Amino acid sequence: MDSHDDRVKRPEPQRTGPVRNWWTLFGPPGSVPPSGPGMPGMPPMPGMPRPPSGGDPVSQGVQLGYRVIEEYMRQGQNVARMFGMPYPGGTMPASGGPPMEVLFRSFSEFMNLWMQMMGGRAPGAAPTAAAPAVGIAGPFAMGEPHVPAPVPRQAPVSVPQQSEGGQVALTLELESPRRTEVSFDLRPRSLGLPLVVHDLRAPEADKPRITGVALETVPDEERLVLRLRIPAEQPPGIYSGIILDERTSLPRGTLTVRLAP
Amino acid sequence: MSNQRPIQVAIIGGGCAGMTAAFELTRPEHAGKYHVTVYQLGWRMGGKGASGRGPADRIHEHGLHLWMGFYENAFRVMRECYAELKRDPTKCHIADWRDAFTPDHFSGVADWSPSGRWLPWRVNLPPFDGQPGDPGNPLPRWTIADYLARSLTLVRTLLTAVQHHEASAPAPATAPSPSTAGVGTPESLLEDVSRLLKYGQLATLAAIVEALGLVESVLGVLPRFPESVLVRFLDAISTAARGQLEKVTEKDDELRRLWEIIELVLAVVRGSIRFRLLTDARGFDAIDDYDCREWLRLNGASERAINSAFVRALYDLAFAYEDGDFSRPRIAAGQAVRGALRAFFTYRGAFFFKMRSGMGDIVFAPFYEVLERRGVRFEFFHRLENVKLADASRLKPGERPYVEALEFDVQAQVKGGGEYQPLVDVRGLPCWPAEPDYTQLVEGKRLKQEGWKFESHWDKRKVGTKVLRVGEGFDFVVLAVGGGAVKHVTKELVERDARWREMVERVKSVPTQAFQIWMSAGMRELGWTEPPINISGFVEPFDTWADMSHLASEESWKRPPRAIAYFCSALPDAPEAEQQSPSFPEAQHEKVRRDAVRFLNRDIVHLWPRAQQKPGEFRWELLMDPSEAPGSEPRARGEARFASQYWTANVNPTDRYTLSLPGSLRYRISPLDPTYDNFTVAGDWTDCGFNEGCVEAAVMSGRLASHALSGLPRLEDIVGFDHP
Repeated sequence: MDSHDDRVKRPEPQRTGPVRNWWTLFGPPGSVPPSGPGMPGMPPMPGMPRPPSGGDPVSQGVQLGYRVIEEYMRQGQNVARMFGMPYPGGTMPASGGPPMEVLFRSFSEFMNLWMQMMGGRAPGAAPTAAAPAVGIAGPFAMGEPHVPAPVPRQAPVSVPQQSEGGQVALTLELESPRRTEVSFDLRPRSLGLPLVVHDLRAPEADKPRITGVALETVPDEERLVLRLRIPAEQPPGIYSGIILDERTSLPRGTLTVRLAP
Repeated sequence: MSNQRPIQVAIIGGGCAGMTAAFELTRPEHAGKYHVTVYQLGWRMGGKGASGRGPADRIHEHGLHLWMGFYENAFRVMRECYAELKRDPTKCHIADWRDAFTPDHFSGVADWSPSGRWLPWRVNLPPFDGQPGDPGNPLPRWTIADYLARSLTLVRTLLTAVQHHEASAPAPATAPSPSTAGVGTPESLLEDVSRLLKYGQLATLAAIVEALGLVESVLGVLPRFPESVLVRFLDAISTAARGQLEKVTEKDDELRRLWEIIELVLAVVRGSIRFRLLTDARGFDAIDDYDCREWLRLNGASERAINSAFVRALYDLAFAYEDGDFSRPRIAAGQAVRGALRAFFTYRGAFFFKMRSGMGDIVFAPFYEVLERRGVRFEFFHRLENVKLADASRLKPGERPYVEALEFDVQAQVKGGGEYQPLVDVRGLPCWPAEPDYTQLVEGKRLKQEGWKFESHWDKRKVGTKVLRVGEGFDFVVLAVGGGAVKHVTKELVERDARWREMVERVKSVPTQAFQIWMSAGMRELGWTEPPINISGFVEPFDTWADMSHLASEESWKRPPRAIAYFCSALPDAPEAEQQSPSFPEAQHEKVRRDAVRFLNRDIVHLWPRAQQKPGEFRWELLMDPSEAPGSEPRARGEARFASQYWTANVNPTDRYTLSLPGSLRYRISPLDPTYDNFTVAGDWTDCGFNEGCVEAAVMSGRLASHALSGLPRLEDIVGFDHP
């Protein structure tokens, strides 16, 4: 018997790994810092765990710590409500938004949602029209036009040297035969500098480097373009490289790529 | 899938992972779509969680099993299992899951005091609302910022305690004057931080506590906050606190412990910010290439803090010693931090739960009974020898590799060809025996006389072989054997698939050792005056002790023991060549006996000050021999009495504990991995979201395996899978 044509096959997986960082998707759980967590003697908030029963400081500390997360959750849910997003325990938006199952379908789709939200809200968001990307580029959805990466917005602050002239938008041009997650981390005030990216290396010495990574600045648009091509034979793993200021050779950031198995 | 017939699923291994996968795949919601058969080595389910009833119905465990209050998946499945079981409480005293698991709030670590002695540091962790596995109770979507905020609250509380403890507590500092940029805005927080740094207003503990509150606030807006300033601020806080406390803590054990915890928590917070974990898509995985101690050290924890009782206990509870070498403690930092944060900050009901009987009786007998009712078949005495892959040359373009056959050795045949009935009744409670019931086996008498060891890796005797072929004997396979056994049963996979080769090479396991003693004196008489406790971080070779005296009433002694104690730890690995010897398991068993006797003579006195009859000699007459009638002449005296107790060297590949070594976790294979289209994996050795050997990880992997084959449960219903 050589043919198993009618054999049963596993369904296609929605995804093959956990979502490790909700903050990456949704941003911080509230724009307002949490109110002071309860100190000893403070009455519990509604729905919070029972008040401390006295005893040792570790017990009290753990108990009080529980109040903080509830406050974060409350604020996070408020934000989610504001943006019409689903959240555990919450009801769906009244506007007849997409069902929970659809929204939970994949990490990529979450990212898209986030991107749309940011694109609609963030002033100065980068234009989305550019050369089409190829391959699967988690957290970016396959086949989508490339979109700006979720660079955190720089808030104006009162200390002059921390002021930043707007945000940096990123266009990712990715060719990859497999699911690829890209983490891009750039220090403030890097826009306009001649940036280069070292070859991306894996911790394992036997894995080949990812070469030819290019990072270009488009000053008129306050935009960076990152070009990344993953060869078909590149083994799965995590590859990292440093982003340098070409003139000074000082590091300006890091680029990390995770190739899923 | 066009097949109308039920899909045949072969699950290899009946431990927590395999039984969970069977439980999920046979839920009524599937309407009988999956027909499951569990293939099991030997006569009992449970894997590393198997237990058996020995003489006087004594419970013999593989080790010490405590369930933690954050085991949401494990408790959820067990609660559903007990609900479906519907035991009659008038006939069986463990009828409900609440009968099976007892909250245990009292824990401790053994602390080596600078005064030169071991001191138990006891903590009564408070109960929290709800119970683990509560249905319909949504859990938070965890973020690292949440955890850091909680951690800082803990530090503030500890510092406040220190402040009160200190006789010459300094006057509270003046509260920072309010900033001008609006309360709670990033701008105002930055102003406050800058002012505190500039004017050095951290000269008192009260000011440090205030400053920590500021950091908590900053965490809420971190992406808009300059990290370098925050790290500098944290450094200033640490330095100030150290300056305030170090001299004081040298003389006071209680303050020293608090300061050690403070240091560790501050190191975690500082490291999370420095390593940008709050926004890293990998969450804590991003630091899994570091050893936990190494990472804490990198982030400012002192040598004293990283060698504190708390950190030692963290390693002990995960048997985190490479090759069982106590001089090589190693655990991946990300998973260790994740585990500690989940343990402390997400438990419900109680920090620990103890089982009211053996783990086999509490977990695997109910599983077995429910699954049997659902129609699951159990094939005991089956030892998997090979997972045979389809020839690559036969695969069509685009077709994924698949498992073509499963090859077993059959260790024993059941008389009449029926199913082996594995359970025994102990006063109404279905339990697993410590030995097989030979009367059910063909030529059982001979097998018993010849001493067949069905669970031993070194006993390869068999009465036949069996080959299951795809489409006939199975459609899908769940490989749910213990992590240490994987390389022995997947030789072909390992040979053909580089990822599997790397996995079996890099994801290492370690043997463990354990012993149990039954004593005629209560713990108070032995000098332990506190409530029953679990203690880790103690001296090797047995770093962990649990008072299990509550089990006395579950056994069938003529005169019940007044105290029962379980001990366990890692067991140093022997060289590979030595492991090949047929006498290896017996030699290791004898080694554990010697370790236990030496430990009782020399070390236990630090915890039980009245357990010695003279220096260096345990009170051996306290040990109870189940074969002795009450009041009769002892069968043995002195340390020879230890022969009547129970001890085990868990050197079988299936019994080895899977380690979470730094740099190894990325080599784990997920149950969701789609490489083989009719095959998945389950076990705490897989990449299951919580990559540390424990019941919860095994159950999560079993649920993931079920999801991989059937789409259920949904990933978002696997609690803690999507977690930083």
